[in-house]
Amino acid sequence: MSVSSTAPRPVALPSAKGFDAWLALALVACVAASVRAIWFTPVDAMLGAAQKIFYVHVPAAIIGLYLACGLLFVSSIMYLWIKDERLDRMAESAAEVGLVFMGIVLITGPVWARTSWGTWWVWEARITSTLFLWLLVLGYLVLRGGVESPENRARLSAVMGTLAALLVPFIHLTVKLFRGMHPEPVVLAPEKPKMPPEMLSTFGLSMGAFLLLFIALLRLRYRWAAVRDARAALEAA
Amino acid sequence: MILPDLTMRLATVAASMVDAVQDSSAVAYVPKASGPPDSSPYMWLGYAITFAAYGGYIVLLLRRMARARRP
Repeated sequence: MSVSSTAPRPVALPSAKGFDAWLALALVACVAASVRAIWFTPVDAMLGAAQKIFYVHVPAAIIGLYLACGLLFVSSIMYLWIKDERLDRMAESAAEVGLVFMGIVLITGPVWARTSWGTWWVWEARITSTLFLWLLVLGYLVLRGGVESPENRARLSAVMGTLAALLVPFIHLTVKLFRGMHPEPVVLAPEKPKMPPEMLSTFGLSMGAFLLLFIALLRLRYRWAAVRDARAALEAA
Repeated sequence: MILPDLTMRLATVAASMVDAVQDSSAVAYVPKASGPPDSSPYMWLGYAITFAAYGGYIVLLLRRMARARRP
Protein backbone atom coordinates (compact mmCIF):
# COMPACT_ATOMS: atom_id res chain seq x y z
CA MET A 1 0.00 0.00 0.00
CA SER A 2 1.45 3.35 -1.00
CA VAL A 3 0.99 6.57 0.90
CA SER A 4 0.36 9.73 -1.07
CA SER A 5 3.12 12.32 -0.63
CA THR A 6 0.50 15.10 -0.63
CA ALA A 7 -1.23 13.77 2.46
CA PRO A 8 -0.89 16.18 5.40
CA ARG A 9 1.81 15.05 7.79
CA PRO A 10 0.80 14.95 11.43
CA VAL A 11 2.32 17.90 13.28
CA ALA A 12 3.23 17.30 16.90
CA LEU A 13 3.60 19.95 19.58
CA PRO A 14 7.25 20.40 20.58
CA SER A 15 7.99 18.78 23.89
CA ALA A 16 8.52 21.55 26.37
CA LYS A 17 8.91 21.45 30.10
CA GLY A 18 7.58 24.21 32.29
CA PHE A 19 9.63 24.29 35.48
CA ASP A 20 13.19 23.10 34.77
CA ALA A 21 16.66 22.93 36.34
CA TRP A 22 17.66 26.37 35.01
CA LEU A 23 14.72 28.03 36.69
CA ALA A 24 15.26 26.13 39.96
CA LEU A 25 18.95 27.06 39.99
CA ALA A 26 18.16 30.70 39.21
CA LEU A 27 15.60 30.93 42.02
CA VAL A 28 18.01 29.40 44.55
CA ALA A 29 20.75 31.82 43.41
CA CYS A 30 18.42 34.85 43.69
CA VAL A 31 17.32 33.88 47.21
CA ALA A 32 20.96 33.26 48.25
CA ALA A 33 22.08 36.62 46.82
CA SER A 34 19.24 38.43 48.60
CA VAL A 35 20.01 36.71 51.93
CA ARG A 36 23.62 37.79 51.61
CA ALA A 37 22.60 41.34 50.67
CA ILE A 38 20.11 41.74 53.52
CA TRP A 39 21.90 40.02 56.41
CA PHE A 40 25.58 39.68 55.51
CA THR A 41 26.46 42.95 53.76
CA PRO A 42 27.32 46.19 55.61
CA VAL A 43 24.67 48.88 55.98
CA ASP A 44 25.46 52.16 54.21
CA ALA A 45 26.49 54.89 56.65
CA MET A 46 24.36 57.60 55.00
CA LEU A 47 21.27 55.88 53.59
CA GLY A 48 20.87 52.99 56.00
CA ALA A 49 19.31 49.67 55.05
CA ALA A 50 17.34 51.10 52.10
CA GLN A 51 20.60 51.31 50.13
CA LYS A 52 20.40 47.50 49.85
CA ILE A 53 17.70 47.98 47.21
CA PHE A 54 20.77 48.66 45.05
CA TYR A 55 21.41 44.87 44.86
CA VAL A 56 18.10 44.25 43.06
CA HIS A 57 17.59 47.63 41.35
CA VAL A 58 20.89 47.85 39.48
CA PRO A 59 21.02 44.21 38.19
CA ALA A 60 17.42 44.62 36.97
CA ALA A 61 18.41 47.86 35.22
CA ILE A 62 21.53 46.43 33.55
CA ILE A 63 19.73 43.26 32.44
CA GLY A 64 16.43 44.91 31.47
CA LEU A 65 17.85 47.86 29.60
CA TYR A 66 21.13 46.68 28.13
CA LEU A 67 20.70 42.92 27.76
CA ALA A 68 16.98 42.50 27.04
CA CYS A 69 16.72 45.60 24.84
CA GLY A 70 20.01 44.69 23.14
CA LEU A 71 18.60 41.27 22.36
CA LEU A 72 15.36 42.86 21.14
CA PHE A 73 17.36 45.16 18.85
CA VAL A 74 19.62 42.44 17.39
CA SER A 75 16.78 39.93 16.93
CA SER A 76 14.53 42.52 15.29
CA ILE A 77 17.24 43.71 12.88
CA MET A 78 18.17 40.13 12.04
CA TYR A 79 14.52 39.24 11.46
CA LEU A 80 14.12 42.11 9.00
CA TRP A 81 17.14 40.76 7.17
CA ILE A 82 16.69 36.97 7.10
CA LYS A 83 12.97 36.59 8.04
CA ASP A 84 13.43 33.63 10.37
CA GLU A 85 10.46 33.17 12.70
CA ARG A 86 12.77 32.03 15.54
CA LEU A 87 14.28 35.51 15.60
CA ASP A 88 10.82 37.03 15.87
CA ARG A 89 10.09 34.68 18.77
CA MET A 90 13.37 35.67 20.46
CA ALA A 91 12.60 39.39 20.06
CA GLU A 92 9.12 38.89 21.51
CA SER A 93 10.51 36.90 24.46
CA ALA A 94 13.30 39.41 25.18
CA ALA A 95 10.77 42.27 25.09
CA GLU A 96 8.38 40.63 27.55
CA VAL A 97 11.02 39.45 30.03
CA GLY A 98 12.78 42.82 29.69
CA LEU A 99 9.49 44.57 30.46
CA VAL A 100 9.34 42.72 33.79
CA PHE A 101 12.94 43.65 34.67
CA MET A 102 12.42 47.29 33.67
CA GLY A 103 9.17 47.36 35.62
CA ILE A 104 11.09 46.29 38.72
CA VAL A 105 13.59 49.10 38.09
CA LEU A 106 10.75 51.63 37.86
CA ILE A 107 9.10 50.41 41.07
CA THR A 108 12.14 49.81 43.30
CA GLY A 109 13.71 53.11 42.19
CA PRO A 110 10.99 55.27 43.79
CA VAL A 111 11.07 53.20 47.00
CA TRP A 112 14.79 53.91 47.28
CA ALA A 113 14.32 57.56 46.19
CA ARG A 114 11.80 58.13 49.00
CA THR A 115 14.52 57.54 51.57
CA SER A 116 17.47 59.18 49.80
CA TRP A 117 15.76 62.10 48.00
CA GLY A 118 12.70 62.48 50.20
CA THR A 119 10.30 62.01 47.31
CA TRP A 120 8.87 59.04 45.43
CA TRP A 121 9.26 60.42 41.92
CA VAL A 122 11.22 63.12 40.11
CA TRP A 123 10.61 63.99 36.46
CA GLU A 124 14.29 64.01 35.59
CA ALA A 125 15.90 62.72 32.39
CA ARG A 126 17.10 59.24 33.44
CA ILE A 127 13.90 58.22 35.19
CA THR A 128 11.51 59.75 32.66
CA SER A 129 13.30 58.28 29.64
CA THR A 130 13.31 54.83 31.30
CA LEU A 131 9.55 55.17 31.80
CA PHE A 132 9.19 56.07 28.09
CA LEU A 133 11.20 53.00 27.09
CA TRP A 134 8.99 50.81 29.30
CA LEU A 135 5.90 52.26 27.61
CA LEU A 136 7.42 51.71 24.15
CA VAL A 137 8.16 48.06 24.91
CA LEU A 138 4.64 47.68 26.30
CA GLY A 139 3.37 49.21 23.04
CA TYR A 140 5.49 46.69 21.12
CA LEU A 141 3.73 43.81 22.90
CA VAL A 142 0.29 45.41 22.45
CA LEU A 143 1.04 45.85 18.73
CA ARG A 144 1.88 42.14 18.45
CA GLY A 145 -1.47 41.27 19.97
CA GLY A 146 -3.33 43.49 17.51
CA VAL A 147 -2.05 42.18 14.15
CA GLU A 148 -3.62 38.98 12.78
CA SER A 149 -1.21 38.01 10.00
CA PRO A 150 1.97 36.38 11.43
CA GLU A 151 4.20 37.90 8.69
CA ASN A 152 2.84 41.43 9.14
CA ARG A 153 3.00 41.07 12.91
CA ALA A 154 6.64 40.00 12.82
CA ARG A 155 7.66 42.72 10.34
CA LEU A 156 5.85 45.61 12.05
CA SER A 157 6.97 44.60 15.51
CA ALA A 158 10.58 44.19 14.32
CA VAL A 159 10.53 47.80 13.13
CA MET A 160 9.01 49.00 16.38
CA GLY A 161 11.36 46.88 18.49
CA THR A 162 14.39 48.29 16.69
CA LEU A 163 13.21 51.88 17.19
CA ALA A 164 12.33 51.33 20.86
CA ALA A 165 15.74 49.81 21.64
CA LEU A 166 17.47 52.85 20.10
CA LEU A 167 16.39 54.77 23.20
CA VAL A 168 18.81 52.76 25.38
CA PRO A 169 22.06 54.62 24.46
CA PHE A 170 20.25 57.89 25.10
CA ILE A 171 19.12 56.66 28.55
CA HIS A 172 22.70 55.62 29.28
CA LEU A 173 23.97 59.13 28.51
CA THR A 174 21.22 61.08 30.33
CA VAL A 175 23.19 61.27 33.60
CA LYS A 176 26.02 62.97 31.69
CA LEU A 177 23.96 65.12 29.31
CA PHE A 178 21.42 66.50 31.79
CA ARG A 179 21.64 67.72 35.34
CA GLY A 180 19.40 65.49 37.41
CA MET A 181 19.14 63.69 40.71
CA HIS A 182 19.92 60.18 39.49
CA PRO A 183 23.50 59.23 40.42
CA GLU A 184 26.13 58.42 37.79
CA PRO A 185 27.21 54.77 37.40
CA VAL A 186 28.73 53.42 40.62
CA VAL A 187 29.87 49.97 39.50
CA LEU A 188 30.51 50.76 35.84
CA ALA A 189 32.32 54.01 36.67
CA PRO A 190 35.01 54.97 34.11
CA GLU A 191 38.00 54.61 36.46
CA LYS A 192 36.98 51.89 38.96
CA PRO A 193 33.90 50.80 40.96
CA LYS A 194 33.09 53.31 43.69
CA MET A 195 32.18 50.70 46.29
CA PRO A 196 33.94 48.88 49.12
CA PRO A 197 34.94 45.27 48.25
CA GLU A 198 32.35 43.58 50.52
CA MET A 199 29.52 45.52 48.83
CA LEU A 200 31.01 44.93 45.40
CA SER A 201 31.18 41.14 45.92
CA THR A 202 27.50 41.11 46.99
CA PHE A 203 26.64 43.10 43.90
CA GLY A 204 28.56 40.59 41.74
CA LEU A 205 26.64 37.71 43.28
CA SER A 206 23.30 39.50 42.74
CA MET A 207 24.23 40.30 39.16
CA GLY A 208 25.06 36.64 38.45
CA ALA A 209 21.88 35.39 40.14
CA PHE A 210 19.53 37.75 38.30
CA LEU A 211 21.35 37.05 35.03
CA LEU A 212 20.61 33.35 35.56
CA LEU A 213 16.98 34.25 36.26
CA PHE A 214 16.82 36.28 33.05
CA ILE A 215 18.18 33.36 31.01
CA ALA A 216 15.76 30.92 32.68
CA LEU A 217 12.77 33.19 32.05
CA LEU A 218 13.85 33.87 28.48
CA ARG A 219 14.13 30.12 27.76
CA LEU A 220 10.71 29.47 29.29
CA ARG A 221 9.08 32.35 27.42
CA TYR A 222 10.69 31.27 24.13
CA ARG A 223 9.56 27.66 24.61
CA TRP A 224 6.03 28.81 25.33
CA ALA A 225 6.03 30.90 22.13
CA ALA A 226 7.27 27.84 20.17
CA VAL A 227 4.48 25.64 21.59
CA ARG A 228 1.90 28.36 20.91
CA ASP A 229 3.03 28.77 17.28
CA ALA A 230 3.10 24.99 16.73
CA ARG A 231 -0.37 24.72 18.17
CA ALA A 232 -1.61 27.51 15.89
CA ALA A 233 -0.07 25.71 12.88
CA LEU A 234 -1.70 22.46 14.00
CA GLU A 235 -5.11 24.10 14.24
CA ALA A 236 -4.70 25.83 10.88
CA ALA A 237 -3.74 22.53 9.15
CA MET B 1 35.28 98.61 87.48
CA ILE B 2 33.78 95.21 88.22
CA LEU B 3 30.38 95.89 86.63
CA PRO B 4 31.60 96.97 83.17
CA ASP B 5 33.96 93.97 83.10
CA LEU B 6 31.11 91.56 83.91
CA THR B 7 28.90 93.21 81.32
CA MET B 8 31.64 92.82 78.75
CA ARG B 9 32.07 89.12 79.60
CA LEU B 10 28.35 88.44 79.40
CA ALA B 11 28.19 90.20 76.05
CA THR B 12 31.02 88.04 74.73
CA VAL B 13 29.29 84.85 75.90
CA ALA B 14 26.01 85.95 74.31
CA ALA B 15 27.77 86.79 71.02
CA SER B 16 29.49 83.40 70.92
CA MET B 17 26.10 81.66 71.45
CA VAL B 18 24.60 83.62 68.57
CA ASP B 19 27.58 82.57 66.42
CA ALA B 20 27.02 78.93 67.37
CA VAL B 21 23.33 79.14 66.49
CA GLN B 22 24.16 80.79 63.16
CA ASP B 23 26.81 78.13 62.39
CA SER B 24 24.48 75.21 63.06
CA SER B 25 21.68 76.80 61.03
CA ALA B 26 24.06 77.03 58.04
CA VAL B 27 24.67 73.24 58.04
CA ALA B 28 22.37 71.25 55.78
CA TYR B 29 22.80 67.82 57.40
CA VAL B 30 23.60 66.92 60.96
CA PRO B 31 25.15 63.52 61.67
CA LYS B 32 23.08 61.29 63.90
CA ALA B 33 25.15 59.94 66.77
CA SER B 34 23.48 56.53 66.79
CA GLY B 35 24.26 55.68 63.13
CA PRO B 36 22.32 55.80 59.87
CA PRO B 37 18.56 56.37 59.76
CA ASP B 38 16.37 53.30 60.11
CA SER B 39 15.20 52.83 56.55
CA SER B 40 14.76 49.06 56.79
CA PRO B 41 10.97 49.17 56.03
CA TYR B 42 11.86 50.59 52.60
CA MET B 43 14.44 47.85 52.07
CA TRP B 44 11.86 45.18 52.90
CA LEU B 45 9.31 46.87 50.63
CA GLY B 46 11.83 46.91 47.75
CA TYR B 47 12.69 43.23 48.13
CA ALA B 48 9.03 42.23 48.59
CA ILE B 49 8.04 44.03 45.37
CA THR B 50 10.94 42.45 43.48
CA PHE B 51 10.17 38.89 44.54
CA ALA B 52 6.42 39.36 44.08
CA ALA B 53 7.00 40.62 40.51
CA TYR B 54 9.41 37.85 39.51
CA GLY B 55 7.30 35.21 41.27
CA GLY B 56 4.10 36.44 39.64
CA TYR B 57 5.69 36.37 36.19
CA ILE B 58 7.02 32.82 36.73
CA VAL B 59 3.54 31.66 37.77
CA LEU B 60 2.07 33.36 34.68
CA LEU B 61 4.59 31.63 32.39
CA LEU B 62 4.04 28.21 33.97
CA ARG B 63 0.26 28.56 33.67
CA ARG B 64 0.58 29.65 30.02
CA MET B 65 2.82 26.65 29.32
CA ALA B 66 0.42 24.22 31.02
CA ARG B 67 -2.53 25.65 29.02
CA ALA B 68 -0.63 25.50 25.72
CA ARG B 69 0.23 21.82 26.18
CA ARG B 70 -3.31 20.84 27.14
CA PRO B 71 -4.98 18.92 24.26
